[in-house]
Amino acid sequence: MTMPAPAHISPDHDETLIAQLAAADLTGPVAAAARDLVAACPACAELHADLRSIMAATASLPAPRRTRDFRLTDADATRLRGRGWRRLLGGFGEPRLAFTKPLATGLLTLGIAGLVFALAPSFLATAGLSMTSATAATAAPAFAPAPGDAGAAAGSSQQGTKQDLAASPAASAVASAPGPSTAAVSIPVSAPTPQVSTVAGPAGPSGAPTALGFGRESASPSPAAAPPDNNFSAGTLGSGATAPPAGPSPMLVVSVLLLVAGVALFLLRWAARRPG
Amino acid sequence: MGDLRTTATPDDGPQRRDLILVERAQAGDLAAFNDLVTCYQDQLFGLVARMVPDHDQASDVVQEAFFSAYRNLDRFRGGSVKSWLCRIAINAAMDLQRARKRRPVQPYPELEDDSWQPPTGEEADPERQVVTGERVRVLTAALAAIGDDQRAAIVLYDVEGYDYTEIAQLTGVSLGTVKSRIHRGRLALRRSLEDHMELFRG
Repeated sequence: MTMPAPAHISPDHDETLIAQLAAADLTGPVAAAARDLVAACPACAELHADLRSIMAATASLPAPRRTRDFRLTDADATRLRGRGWRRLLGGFGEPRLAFTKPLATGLLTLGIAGLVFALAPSFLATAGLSMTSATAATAAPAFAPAPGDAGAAAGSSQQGTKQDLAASPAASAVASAPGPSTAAVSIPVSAPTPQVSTVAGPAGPSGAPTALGFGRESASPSPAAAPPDNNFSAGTLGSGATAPPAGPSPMLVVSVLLLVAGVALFLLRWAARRPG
Repeated sequence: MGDLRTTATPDDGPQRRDLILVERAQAGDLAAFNDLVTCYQDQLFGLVARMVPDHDQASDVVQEAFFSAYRNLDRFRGGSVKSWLCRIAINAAMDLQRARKRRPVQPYPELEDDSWQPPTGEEADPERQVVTGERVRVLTAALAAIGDDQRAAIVLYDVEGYDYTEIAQLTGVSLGTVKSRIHRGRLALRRSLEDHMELFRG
């Protein structure tokens, strides 16, 4: 913080330098320069003298009279040095740990926000299921398999379609789009995130669909590479690509942990500050 | 815990006494801790009352500081008991000042309290007494008007007699920051007292 110099002191003259000189904090050439300044400038000399006077007056300020006896009573001692868990918790009630309150609030807020973000897709998918069920019912006639993919279409219509529809609205929209070489490909219902949603790609050389969005597991037995006479179907692809249900998302785990930490901090503070 | 008394120099009587009292207090002797309180309560109140000019709040701060010291007796690891207690009191005062910044109230009602007058000798003449009282009043008001950090540094240096290094340790800031706060604080005091400087120049 730089304070403006009083009107009667030249702006070229450094007040802080005078203050340092008055406090005897300067040595060597800097001290000599400051002394020269005080000797040459009456305003600086007055400032220097005033600062010395203020220092002396401050040092001689009378001690304020105490109005209370601060000795501890037995009750104070018992309360302050309680045994067991209350003693362990005691620190949370101290003013120096007052930051734990905003910290707990922050952790709670982050946890709740994280939970909302982590769980929102599931809620959306659930809502989408009910919406797309109706959509699938109306779009069923348009969902015509390619002539060479009758088996695949049959298989997928048995096993994959409903799961596809449940997975995400986008996947269901693609799967139900009419087209001669489009076939539905099953994806796990328990993975509703957009990156695992599968769309049917352009037809391969044999007219079979190429699955996009699958990993190595699904890419290797691609329908395009399958022998023409095998009975490979999208249904088998779907069942083969269906991974075991994944665990809770990391975001969900972290959010729950933050939430629990925030609540725990609040409880610790409450327990520490509770009288008795 | 080792023998705390070994941390005191042989010729440091008060320090040896303090360490003995701390050891006894750590063993559960409340009377020993209260002896420490008796030794330092005036000094701590004087320190805190200048940092927190509201005397009721200053009393609360000092009481809380002694509570905190008693609660944390086991964490005392030797050294100066006086510095340890001062550090706790300073931290408590700064906590209060920070809280007051968040919830500002009518500042420093103590300044209106005419009952707080400096002690004077019996032989002091009335005119000198009036000048001294007025000087204390305006200087106290000016101290209350400058920044909390600057006031704490000035009180610790000019009034309590700590050196720069000790103040840096007590307040947890660098040596340069301590010096800067003191210099700027004194300049701020001088600005605040500009209309009353004749009281100090005589």
